[in-house]
Amino acid sequence: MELEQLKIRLAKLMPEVDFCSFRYDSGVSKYIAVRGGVALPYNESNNSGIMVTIFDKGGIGYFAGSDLTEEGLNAAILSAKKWAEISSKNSVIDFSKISMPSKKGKYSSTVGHEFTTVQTSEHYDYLIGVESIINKKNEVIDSWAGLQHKEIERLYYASNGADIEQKFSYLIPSIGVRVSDGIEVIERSSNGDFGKQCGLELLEEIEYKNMAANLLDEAKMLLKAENCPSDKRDLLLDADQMLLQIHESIGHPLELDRILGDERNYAGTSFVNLDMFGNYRYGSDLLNVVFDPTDKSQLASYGFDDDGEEAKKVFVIEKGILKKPLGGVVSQHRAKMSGVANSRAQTWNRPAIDRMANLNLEPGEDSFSTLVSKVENGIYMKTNSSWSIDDSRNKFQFGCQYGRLIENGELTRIVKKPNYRGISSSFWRSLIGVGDKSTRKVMGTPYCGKGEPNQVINVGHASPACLFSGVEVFGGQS
Amino acid sequence: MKDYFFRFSDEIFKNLPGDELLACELFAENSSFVRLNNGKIRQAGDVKQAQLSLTLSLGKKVVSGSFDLSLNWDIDINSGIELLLKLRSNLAYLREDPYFNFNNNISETDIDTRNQGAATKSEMVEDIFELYQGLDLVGVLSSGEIMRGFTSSLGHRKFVQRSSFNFDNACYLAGDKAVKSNYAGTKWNREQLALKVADVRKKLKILSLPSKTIKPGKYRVYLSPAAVIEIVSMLNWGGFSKKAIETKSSPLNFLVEGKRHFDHRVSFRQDLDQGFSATFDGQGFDLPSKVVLVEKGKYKNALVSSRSAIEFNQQVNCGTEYSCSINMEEGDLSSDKIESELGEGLLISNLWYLNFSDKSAGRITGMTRFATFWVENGRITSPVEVMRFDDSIFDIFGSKLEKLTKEREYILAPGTYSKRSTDSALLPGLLVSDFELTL
Repeated sequence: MELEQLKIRLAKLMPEVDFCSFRYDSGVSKYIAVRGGVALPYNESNNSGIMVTIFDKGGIGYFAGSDLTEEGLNAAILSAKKWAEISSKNSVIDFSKISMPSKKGKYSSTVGHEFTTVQTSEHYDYLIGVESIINKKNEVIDSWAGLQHKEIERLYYASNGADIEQKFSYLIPSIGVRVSDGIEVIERSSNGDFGKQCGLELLEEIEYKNMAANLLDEAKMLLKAENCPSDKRDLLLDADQMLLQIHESIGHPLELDRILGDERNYAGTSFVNLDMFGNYRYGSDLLNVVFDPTDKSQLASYGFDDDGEEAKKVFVIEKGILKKPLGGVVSQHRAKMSGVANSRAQTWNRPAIDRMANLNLEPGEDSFSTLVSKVENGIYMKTNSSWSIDDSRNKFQFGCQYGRLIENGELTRIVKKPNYRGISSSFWRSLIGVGDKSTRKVMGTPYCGKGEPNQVINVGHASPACLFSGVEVFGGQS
Repeated sequence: MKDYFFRFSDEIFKNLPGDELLACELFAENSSFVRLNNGKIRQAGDVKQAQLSLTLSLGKKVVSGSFDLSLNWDIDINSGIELLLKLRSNLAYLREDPYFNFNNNISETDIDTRNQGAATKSEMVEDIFELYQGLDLVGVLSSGEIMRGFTSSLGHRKFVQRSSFNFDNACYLAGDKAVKSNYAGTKWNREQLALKVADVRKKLKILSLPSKTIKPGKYRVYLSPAAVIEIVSMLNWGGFSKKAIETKSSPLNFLVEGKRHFDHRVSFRQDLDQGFSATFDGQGFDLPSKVVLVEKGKYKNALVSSRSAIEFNQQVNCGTEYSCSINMEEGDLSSDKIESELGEGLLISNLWYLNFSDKSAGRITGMTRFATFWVENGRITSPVEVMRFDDSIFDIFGSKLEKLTKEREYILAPGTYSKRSTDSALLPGLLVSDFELTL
């Protein structure tokens, strides 16, 4: 449906309530993949629906459906009003008192080479070529390559005059290989963490074909490698593992809805409390973290969040000191403190909640070789393979696909199945080196899960390589 | 919805030349979600969604696509035909899929178990507010109808529609001290919920005792069925999948290869009769109600999808290759003897955020969460702070397994990613020795 036509209809139906918003999503997701030399069936998913949210007499209610006719929208409004009425007697807060943003504006991803200008069959030909680089006989027991392309058009239109149109275009490539010598099994993959808002130019940028060859080489080397040692040593994390480290032990604990307790039954709470903002030492002086949905190259960029708040770059941790929570307009009102524009919903069928968007660790001054040279006894790890953290986001244990020992300032032997564990509240204070821009990678994942009802969402994380002192590391089962 | 879906299918099947095969698959729900925090409503609303998938094939060439039904006839038919044309335009240029597998034997299914619960969503919410008064309640009540349909231009006609509810929640005492509880089923019963609330209040009193902090090490533990399901879920990360087994990504490779085995009292099966999951897949196959996965500690069968059936020359026995309704054999430990049998150790109600620390070796890690208690001289003496564990599934279900409870718990999955889950499990509690706590 054309947005202008829809807006006329919504304006006509706008109910007499304290606040009403409509969030319309229309999108198409295409998935093309090759596994073991076989082109998997082409799939495309078209998605279209609207969520009506009403604040009235202090209560909150929503309805989500795909019927955009006047009759359908009227029924949706009535259902949302009914829930607002039920909840008005027992809401966590008087929703009618929240001053919702009334911004107008537009946003659009920057795309170079449009995915849709290439025939589907040509995408398959390309992927078969890339996958053939890793689909070799002998040790290889599984190999795969895939491209997911998503286009979404989103309208946010509200009774207070808010009128926001946004168009997003994502490309998420993945690639991986599994090898075995009959005893050991090793997997090397991209984890699908190279997704961005962009076009096919991404494949050149990340050197997708070279990546395939490198993954196979590394997998073969890991097959012959010894297990990661078990001891305490300095840990140098590549940007592609920093993604996970930032996500789990900075991003989630700073989400304001978790701090307010909304997620205590599911995703968990936080070791951070409201009193810590402005004074708590989260990490060493080298730690600078920004919430930045305005960097258009990243996976979770936007002009406005799903409550209509305008996106801005904000320091959440500066020189190691905790500054701001990741909380949108509703959470800010509840907590009586300022936050960021991060109310986000997976799509039309889920309500907006506090999310990360792009959360990036700012580069420092050390080159990769300088970071390595600082280490007497340590280990370099890259690409996540395992993640587990407690519900307050404190005690964590993460595993990586690739490890390499650092001895007397030099990278030495490759080791397999490297893991490390720590506690968030002390781990970031052991940050002793931050890589410069040359070590920085812009990454992200489309699989951040949270919320009741559950939702997954895109998040972006850009980071340089980082060095931590005295971390407990260990290997696989011998 | 059933009549609409069948009528839609009949209409769209008119648009096929004789040699094309088209299958329609429907996932639909009319759900209500009430999200609670601090015993009050945080968000509440309804979601009405109906996703329709079309799978078009011509010989071994196959493409699929989906769209959201508006339930407005003219709009939906136009969308359906538009998608069909788009799929057809792609089909001509794509390669053959050697593993495409469609069941040409036509069958019909019609199951309708809706409206078994008389309570309205407002009544359920009122019951919750009354019974949980004074408690710091957090969680979500999900309820309503779930529908799944399948038709094909060959003549398949299948439809399942059920009503259910799932109230997944926790009551907090302070900090991270909380009691997790779940009340799910098809017929809402206030008295049953009241019994659960009484149990929660009793456990909260124990949680108010001073906490014990324990050191990393090996401990004797009792894992409740709600904790066991987290470990069993890890087996489901490819453990029973034929494709994963053949490509060595199953955590049960050692079991399959006979290098390791579980204790002889450990048996798992997929049992569709116990759950809400459909008994048909998206390629027209009727699925066996029972598949023995592990029998007396040894690997028995894998779950085989229609694709794997062709690739590995097997019979189809599942839709997707994970156990959506897993059933673990019971043991002989009476539930009222758990604490005395444990003697000294940890009573773990829930585990959380599990992952593999060494997948090929079957080694897992995760956290204790919610109510974990220290037991001494056969009695609970204090709550215990959260701890991380790292242990092997071959040891937990093998050499370290002491006893399984006689009584099992039926667990309906509270998951709602994209749509409400229909997964279920029937599991005993486990008494395990030397359980490794690491942090």
